[in-house]
Amino acid sequence: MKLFIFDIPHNKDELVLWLEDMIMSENFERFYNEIIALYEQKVSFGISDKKLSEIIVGGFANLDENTIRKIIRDPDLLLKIHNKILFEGEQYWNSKALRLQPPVKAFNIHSEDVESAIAVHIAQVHRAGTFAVAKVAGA
Amino acid sequence: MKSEEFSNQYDKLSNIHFAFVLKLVKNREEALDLHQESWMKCWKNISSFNGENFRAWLYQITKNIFFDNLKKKRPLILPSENFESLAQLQSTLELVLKTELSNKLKNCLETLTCSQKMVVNLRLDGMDFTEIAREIHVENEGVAYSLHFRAKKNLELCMLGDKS
Repeated sequence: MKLFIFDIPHNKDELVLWLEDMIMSENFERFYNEIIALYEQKVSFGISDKKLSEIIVGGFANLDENTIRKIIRDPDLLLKIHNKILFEGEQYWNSKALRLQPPVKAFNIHSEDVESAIAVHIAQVHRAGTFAVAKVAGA
Repeated sequence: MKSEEFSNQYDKLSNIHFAFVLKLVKNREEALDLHQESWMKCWKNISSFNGENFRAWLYQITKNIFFDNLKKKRPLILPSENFESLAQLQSTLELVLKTELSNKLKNCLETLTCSQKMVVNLRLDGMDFTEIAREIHVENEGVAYSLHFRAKKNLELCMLGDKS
């Protein structure tokens, strides 16, 4: 069974990308539980609201490496940041989530029947078994 | 809200909403269904949106569908489906995310030697193997690497074999 925590990079730029991917990943649950197992008993680190806001807007790149590693060692804080990103993160994190290959927008904004267009798209996605990017223009 | 505004919201939030949905259902097929069903329900009920916080409204709708589906599958397990706020929804997400896996891993960690545990912790702290070798007083980075490699393999095998 793969343990994600062993993939932790040792270069700051890679660490930022890796952590951001882990947070958005469908494997976050496993990663988070690995962190709990390793660090639950340790002292909580905490983070200022200013830094938290920076993360929400632009990810972890503006934090120093030591702070990022402290966040990884604090499961409660990690979950707090994760939730805040999911509930408040905007363009930067929405772009990050693209790596999850979510369903593509399939409805035409000018269509009066958006609901039907979405329904049709669900069927298409399920039939195709793929999430390749395709916008349905003029549907 | 007009269809164009709705579409803008979709562009802005669709991916991150899918990430949120994946945390709830943990299955790609179900996540696709829940994601699409949520957006469809939003559109269908767009006249009832109060115009304040679209994301909160979308997540609330998603949560309602999630719990309705869960209730159908496991009607006796659900403590309550009457969550009122996003804070409560976040708590729900926390419950969903905490699993037995951490206990299992904790037990597996206990099977490592002291040296292996130290190497794992120092590595997670960002040290390279040369620094680790110096820190734990072993001959060279090769020894530290070997300890780390064995710790990783032991843990992965332990987790796989359920030796906890």
